[in-house]
Amino acid sequence: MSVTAKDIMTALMLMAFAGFGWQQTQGLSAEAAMFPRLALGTLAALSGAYLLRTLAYAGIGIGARRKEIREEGAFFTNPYRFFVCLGLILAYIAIFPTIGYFISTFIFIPLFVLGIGAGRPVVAIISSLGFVIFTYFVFVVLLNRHLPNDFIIDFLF
Amino acid sequence: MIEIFIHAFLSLLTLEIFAAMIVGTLAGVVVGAMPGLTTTVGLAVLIPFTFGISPPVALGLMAGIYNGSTYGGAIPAILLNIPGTPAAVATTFDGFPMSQSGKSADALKIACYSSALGAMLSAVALMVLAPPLSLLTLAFGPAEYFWVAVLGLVTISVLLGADPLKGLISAALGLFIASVGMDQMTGRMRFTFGRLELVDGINIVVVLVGLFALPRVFRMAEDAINVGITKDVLKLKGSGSALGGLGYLIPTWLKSGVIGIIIGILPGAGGNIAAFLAYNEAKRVGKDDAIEFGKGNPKGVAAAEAGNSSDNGASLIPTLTLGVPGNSIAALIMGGLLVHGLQPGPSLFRDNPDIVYGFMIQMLLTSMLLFVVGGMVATRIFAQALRIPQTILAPMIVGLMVLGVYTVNNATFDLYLMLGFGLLGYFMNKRGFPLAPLVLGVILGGLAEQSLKTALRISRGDWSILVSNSISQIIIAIILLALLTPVWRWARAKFADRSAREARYSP
Repeated sequence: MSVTAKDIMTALMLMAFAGFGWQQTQGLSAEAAMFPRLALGTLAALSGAYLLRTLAYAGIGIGARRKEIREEGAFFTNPYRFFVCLGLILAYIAIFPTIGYFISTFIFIPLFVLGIGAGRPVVAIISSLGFVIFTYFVFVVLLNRHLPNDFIIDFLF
Repeated sequence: MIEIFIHAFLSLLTLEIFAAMIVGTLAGVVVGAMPGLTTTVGLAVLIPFTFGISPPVALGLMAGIYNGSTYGGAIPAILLNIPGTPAAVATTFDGFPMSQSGKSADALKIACYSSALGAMLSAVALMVLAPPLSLLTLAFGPAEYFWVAVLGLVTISVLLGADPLKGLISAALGLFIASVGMDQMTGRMRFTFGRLELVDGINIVVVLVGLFALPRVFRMAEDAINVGITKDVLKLKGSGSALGGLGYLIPTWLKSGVIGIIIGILPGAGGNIAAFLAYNEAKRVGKDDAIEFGKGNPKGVAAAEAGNSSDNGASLIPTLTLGVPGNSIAALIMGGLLVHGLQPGPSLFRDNPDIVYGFMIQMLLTSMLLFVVGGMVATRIFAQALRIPQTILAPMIVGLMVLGVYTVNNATFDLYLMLGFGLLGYFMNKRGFPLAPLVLGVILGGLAEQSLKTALRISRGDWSILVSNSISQIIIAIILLALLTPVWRWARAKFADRSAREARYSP
């Protein structure tokens, strides 16, 4: 996809977002809606300027100058690794309140390393253990942070 | 004023605060030394953990990370020709050639001392200039505060990034995000979609961590650099000369320090600009030196490091006095202050003198700590951090982020919000939209709205109150000047281009 096409899509998305936000302010009083509408109006105007600039650079519209349509590389550097990373983080956030921070983190780190297809399992597990011990000592013992209960930590201590 | 500084210094004399400064400086050097991390990521991950810690301790940690990471960035710049932070790019020009000619230890020593001295000069400038400037702002009313918020947003949007239009769009988005939650004046809910967690708005910590740290994690995962640096590369060799032999660098340090301080005070400029300008000045003056610049001239390393470090304290001058951050790191520190209920501006100096004057002293003390932690043993230890592969570092950063954000409100919803902001930050990076204006929009949005509404209430709805005062008019003029800067740059580039073409084709 060319840079121009991406810029046009981005500008349109921003304008649509500004429109959606403006529509959400309909139920508010004039005073409550004033500032969000100022911000959304500014966003819409600037996105419009962004769109016009993109079209001008692409040789479309009044005052446009012919410019080369630049091709850009793929949006994702490595889509597989990106989505694996995203999925694992989502799963980590979902399960950690249930099974506890330390167990979920101990599982998450090696799974992440292996999931993106890099690193040796033993090194990942040892690093994970070291990290969990470090965070327990610093954040629970020293800084007294309250975290969802780990049944193993509760059992051990 | 001296009495206030003495009182503030005495309030810092606790083991906890000194430990925080030492830990912060050490952590900062490690964060700066790792090319996958930056000072902004380090601060973004640290700030949630300062909840529940007293403000002087939290600020000591932040001061340590800020100063420590500026030196830390020089370590891989010198050893590997890879700047650890953007501000260390100029350090590679002469630092890496010095390392290649077997003088890595000397280069690191010069970088350490230059960083420390530059940061000290900057901290002194902060202590001298910030208090009188804060007195000027006592004359500010709500209309002036509104325009100061706009000034901060405009300068960082227009001057910081390569595309001012994208910067302004980013700032407008930030202002919108700031309006989520209950409106303070009317009590009406805005954009909460029925979620109780959003009644108090979106926590700045969630925004900071999500926007700055998570996109970096995604990038590390995509690149999947599986190996850290090998031991052989990290062997530090030097000439063994005593530190006293660095007296010839004093003029370079002083000049670079002044350049960095001036750049730091200007909103929108950053340490990398200061480093380049200081380096160019040293190169201009030193063109007859025995060693050519770019081929391992120690003055090149000294100028770059002193320049980028002397930006640190100076960038906090507009941040603390006006609430207009000098660069994106200062914007994060502002976020850190707000987390502790400390609103930058004259009220900060009036209501919390021990804290704000103490923070300025902490910037000085942590810069002095660099002399200690930047020694050969410490540098050898920090260089080992480069051996951690990014594939292992990335999930550890996620672990710290989850821990930090969760402990703010003990709410899982904040973690999903953080992930959402992380995705937003990732897409913004890909499309070339700067993140700092968005963060600043979130930080300053509340102040801007409140000031605007208060001014309109005072004037009973008459908008001319925003332009009637001479201070407002001066700030508006500066805003217009900032908005015209990209136009001027474009016109200058066009003129230079035309002149070059005419020169090429003239008979």
